[in-house]
Amino acid sequence: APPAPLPAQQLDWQPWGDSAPQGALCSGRYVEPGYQLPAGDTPQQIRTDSAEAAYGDDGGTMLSGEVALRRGETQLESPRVRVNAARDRAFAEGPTAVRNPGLLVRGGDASMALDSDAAQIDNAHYVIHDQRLRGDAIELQRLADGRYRLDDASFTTCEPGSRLWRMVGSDVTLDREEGFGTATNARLEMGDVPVFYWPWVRFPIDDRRQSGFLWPTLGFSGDGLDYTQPYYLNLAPNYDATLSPRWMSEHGAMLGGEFRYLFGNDQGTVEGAYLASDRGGASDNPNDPDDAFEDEARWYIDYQHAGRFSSQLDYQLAYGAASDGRYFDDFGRNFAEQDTDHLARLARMTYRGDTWRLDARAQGYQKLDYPLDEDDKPFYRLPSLSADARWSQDSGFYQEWNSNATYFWRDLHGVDSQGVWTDEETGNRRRIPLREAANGSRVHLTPALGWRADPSWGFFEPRAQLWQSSYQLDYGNRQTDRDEDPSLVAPVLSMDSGLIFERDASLFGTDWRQTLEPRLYYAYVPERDQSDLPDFDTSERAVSWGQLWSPYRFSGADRLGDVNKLSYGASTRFLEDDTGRERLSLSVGQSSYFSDRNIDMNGDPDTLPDRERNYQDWYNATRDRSPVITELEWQMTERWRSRYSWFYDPDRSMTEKASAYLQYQDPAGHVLNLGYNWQLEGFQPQDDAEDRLGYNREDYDVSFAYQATPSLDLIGRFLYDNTNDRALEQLAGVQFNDCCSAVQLVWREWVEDNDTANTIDDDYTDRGLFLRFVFKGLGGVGQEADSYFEEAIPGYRATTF
Amino acid sequence: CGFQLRGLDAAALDIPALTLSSPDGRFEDAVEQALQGTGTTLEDNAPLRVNLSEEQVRETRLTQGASGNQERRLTLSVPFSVQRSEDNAYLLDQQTLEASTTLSVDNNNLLAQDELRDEALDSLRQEAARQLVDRLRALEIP
Amino acid sequence: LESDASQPIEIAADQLDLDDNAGTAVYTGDVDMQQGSMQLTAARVEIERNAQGEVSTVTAHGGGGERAYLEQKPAPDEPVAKGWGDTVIYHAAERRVELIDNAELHQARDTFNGAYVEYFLDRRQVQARSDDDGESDQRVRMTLTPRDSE
Repeated sequence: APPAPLPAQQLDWQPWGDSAPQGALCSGRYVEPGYQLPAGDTPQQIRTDSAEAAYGDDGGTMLSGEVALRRGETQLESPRVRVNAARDRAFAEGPTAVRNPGLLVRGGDASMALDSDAAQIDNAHYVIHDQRLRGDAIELQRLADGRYRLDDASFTTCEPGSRLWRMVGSDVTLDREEGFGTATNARLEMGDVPVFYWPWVRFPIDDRRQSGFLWPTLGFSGDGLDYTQPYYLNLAPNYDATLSPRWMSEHGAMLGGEFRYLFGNDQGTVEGAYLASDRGGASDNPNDPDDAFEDEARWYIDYQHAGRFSSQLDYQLAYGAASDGRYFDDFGRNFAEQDTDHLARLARMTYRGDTWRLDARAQGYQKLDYPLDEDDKPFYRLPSLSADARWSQDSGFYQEWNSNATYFWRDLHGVDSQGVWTDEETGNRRRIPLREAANGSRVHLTPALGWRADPSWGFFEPRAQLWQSSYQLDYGNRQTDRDEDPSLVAPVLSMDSGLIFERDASLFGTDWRQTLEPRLYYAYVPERDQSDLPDFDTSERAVSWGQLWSPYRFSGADRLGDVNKLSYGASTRFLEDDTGRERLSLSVGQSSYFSDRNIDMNGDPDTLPDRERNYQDWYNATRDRSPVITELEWQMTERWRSRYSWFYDPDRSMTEKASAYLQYQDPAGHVLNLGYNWQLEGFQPQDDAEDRLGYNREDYDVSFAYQATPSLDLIGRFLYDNTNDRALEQLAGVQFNDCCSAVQLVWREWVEDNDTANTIDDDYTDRGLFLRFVFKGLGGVGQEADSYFEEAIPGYRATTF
Repeated sequence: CGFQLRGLDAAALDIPALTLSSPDGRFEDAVEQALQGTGTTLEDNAPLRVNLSEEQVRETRLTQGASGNQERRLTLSVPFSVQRSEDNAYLLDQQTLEASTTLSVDNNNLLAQDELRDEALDSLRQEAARQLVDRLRALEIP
Repeated sequence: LESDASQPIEIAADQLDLDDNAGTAVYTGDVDMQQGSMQLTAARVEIERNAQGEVSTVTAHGGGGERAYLEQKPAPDEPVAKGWGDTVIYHAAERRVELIDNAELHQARDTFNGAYVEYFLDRRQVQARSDDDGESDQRVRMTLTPRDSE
């Protein structure tokens, strides 16, 4: 076993004392003293400093009394040194110290070549200063080519005196040139307990991306163990790969991999994993049959590539596919991966000119539901060609040309001529709505003319647009008497106007510049029969502040909602007088409708939603006024800020939607978020019954990130569904970050809705434990932290190790 | 109550000319649009230079669920600084424009997601550009 | 050279004082002494002779900021050995030179610096020590040049 380590002060270790920098994790640092002797006049010349020096009668030179000997960049310190007659070797009695740039080795007897860089020390203790790497060895040899060979050696990045972890190997070589080390029968010891064993291991010893084992990641999800041992291959400066053999007690052994490349303007990654035969394993989802995938191959692949031909012409390729819709629920390595709900497929080329913007793409998705209902299958765009342009004149007059031609396609299985298919999960038979039953092409043109005056005190913009869609549809074996070449032409007229008033105000002792911005908006779109139009990419929009000032009631291009409304509102903003920074913005607005909104997803202008079965849709279509929308964003101090949003219906004197969020953010890294979110059932129109919220949403949301000490981070989130009296998500994480290691332990329990929003009977609770070790300085190569935490806790910045 | 129309007495933004150095992208268009009404022209070597860096978009999840409409908070932040061209002195340094909005994501209609996200981002870019003009208006040009 | 010992000693100096009873001659002022290939320059040189009148020891002292200097060619094919010291003592019989205080010796492309350097003219033996009583910290500093890199 390697000799016991030396005390800190003998290893060039300088404790910070009280001058520790903010957030320092280590108690000090290695400081390399200068050389005791100046360099020789020539690289070969040797300089010495000693109490006595003498030529021996054999022609050798004897030096004694705190001898220091320097040759080139190597300095030897020893009580007695003998230089042989041939002047090609120096022998030093212990205790010796050998210094090279960035390296210190202390030990017993040593010998050092004077005609090359070779040296050899027994009972060595070494330090690589800038990598904070230290260790001990029975014998340390520095080879002529500059590498170091250590027998029975240890190495760690922990500060002297700490025994948190170290690697021990029988034959270790360190190559500072290439920046990696190898060791045979290497053991990872924590304290004195051997934790892991490698017959052979190669590991990086500096920050360069080095091929070698990355640190294993362990997970305990469901009842199984999940162990991944990634191996990183730095193939070339601009491409590298990571192979990740992985073993899961529930499912078996699988091989994952990732390949990344960067060539000039083009870069991309391809990642994937393959499990030959799944052991089955119980699904966390009680609605799924157990061992649903026993003996089946489970795999996924995700290819992303982006490139640029010129500053105006770029392209993008992506292809994602998974063996089944439950792949990521079962195999997602971290919470972010487990939430993957679709994989994109795309081939896109875009030209952005000053006037014209051209886009050609083929696009599709694999939706990761299990089982995937036939009516939930998204359409492919094979292809979609767009050309948009805008011309404007100084007079304020402008013209727009927007055009798109797309062929939509999807293939349905087990759907009879009446569009009926059987839902595997529930066994009942369901029907594909006619509007989603056809494949076909759509040409969509929306040229527009407008005039915008934009003085500093306001704006005025009348605008007229011609909305034109024409289709060629193919209903395949589906029987229908629907028109196969429907089209729609309609004008979209709108007039937006607003004034900006200003004054200087002083409130709470500070000077503000306050604005008052009234706004008036009118939009008219006539009613057009769209009952023969398909639904490829359209859904109805809920009312929102932005919707007040927009003529479009649908997203996508398959429906044009009739509208005849006047929206009015006002915003007031408080800006700091000296910096102009906006501290408070309060807006209130409403629309009043001069006619009912007859066009919904069915597109039949003569019908309204059924009042009994669907009261909120009927009410939304017939109400005379939209809810009064109030939005407030208030940066109260440098650290506290809040935002409120309130949709109030004066006729029914009830709140249809409301949210209030308060955030405290401390420069030291602490974050606290408090949130309340209320939404009336049916507020959000949704044509697919399964996706319609089946209850009033009332959530309380508390999340925090607290940096207890520079080395201890706590994160947590609690999302509570008050309507159904259950915790939607509980997340608790601790991150211990110390000088030479980091441990991240996160536990998460959350509700899965089994892809049905209209009922909570099939909801179930899933939980997962996520554990990650990082031994700093060794293989801490770019292991990206789980992006999920930044998504779950607003304002939280994951620390990179 | 003291309100009067902005800019009636003097030009809203008393900066005659401005150089904009920024990665080409949609935020640069939003700034050009916002500056149109202020009487400030964009030139290559104006006395004042505004440096914009890459826009960053962060997304946090407000609701929990895989189906129907889920709410996400989209936050756009654009770091910027303002320099005097003549001696490169920083009048405003390491500042950030930030605007955020709530986006409703419907994974039953994946095809419309790009359109809704681009719409939300464009509205955030307009808001951030307006903030930039407000910040420039507060600058006393020495 | 080997033959130096048998060569006559020639001395040039500004002034010569004889001290017969001690058998020493004291030359002062820009003294330059030659014996074969050995040359000694100093501000003040005392030469003691033994009973037979042969030179036994030569003690040279530097002065006026100049150290005493002694050079000698150890062998025809070797470079000249040069030595400096505040005081240089040459023991003729033993062919031994002592350089004392601010001692410096250049010999076969090695150099010695230190408080005290002792050097045998005909045998390449050198002995250097730092000042033992340690009030002037003159540790021995050497430069060695490996043979193969001539």
